[in-house]
Amino acid sequence: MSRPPRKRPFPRSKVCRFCADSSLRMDYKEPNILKVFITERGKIIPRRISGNCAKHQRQLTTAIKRARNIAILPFTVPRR
Amino acid sequence: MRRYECVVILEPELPDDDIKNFTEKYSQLIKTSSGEVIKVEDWGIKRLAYLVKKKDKGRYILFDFVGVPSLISEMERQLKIAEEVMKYLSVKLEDSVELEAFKAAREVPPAPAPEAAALPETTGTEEPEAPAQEAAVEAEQQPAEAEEPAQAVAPEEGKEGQA
Repeated sequence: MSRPPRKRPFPRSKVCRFCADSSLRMDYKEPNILKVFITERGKIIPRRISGNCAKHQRQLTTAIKRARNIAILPFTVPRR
Repeated sequence: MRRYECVVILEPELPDDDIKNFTEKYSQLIKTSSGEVIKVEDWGIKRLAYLVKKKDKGRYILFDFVGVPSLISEMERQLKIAEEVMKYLSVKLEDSVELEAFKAAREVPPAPAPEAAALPETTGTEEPEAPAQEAAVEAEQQPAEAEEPAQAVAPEEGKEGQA
């Protein structure tokens, strides 16, 4: 007896969004792009969920960290 | 010579005159240390993602310039001392840049005039806020033009993906 596969809580995208769309540029000055890749609490979404390729995930991480540094993105979003 | 970018967050209450003085002072500093200013952008007062010096707003200024590494250490030293500066971040964009190439490109007026007119609003809105640098913004040519439309399109794509 095999159990039915558990449903994933996140809809995963299989392709790297930055590879698929070359016009999508990663920049620490663009919070609107970066916001897609952080959780509500401000954490960076892992590669296995966002579907990014290794190269772009690396670039994304630095971009998000830079954006945090100049207060464009939050380090944490405190729970109310 | 390297190309750098420096984002500075100033106190939101700072009067416009002081902002002009501030941008001029640092543009001057770049020039005196044999660098070249590519553009200075004023993003206006923006909401901060977290409190900085107990303030939730700040005025963002972006410097894009070419210079030697020692210029960065001098600039950061001065930014640290300046009281109106809440936060700053310098980023290296390119490792080896020919300064002469930039100077030459600046002297040549932007050849494709219609292309310059078709620039998206993003650059257009920033120009009036930095009148002193208007010439610089106009002189800064093809590479920026290629970048801007891409950035203008990108945020929408992101939203689609979210929805």
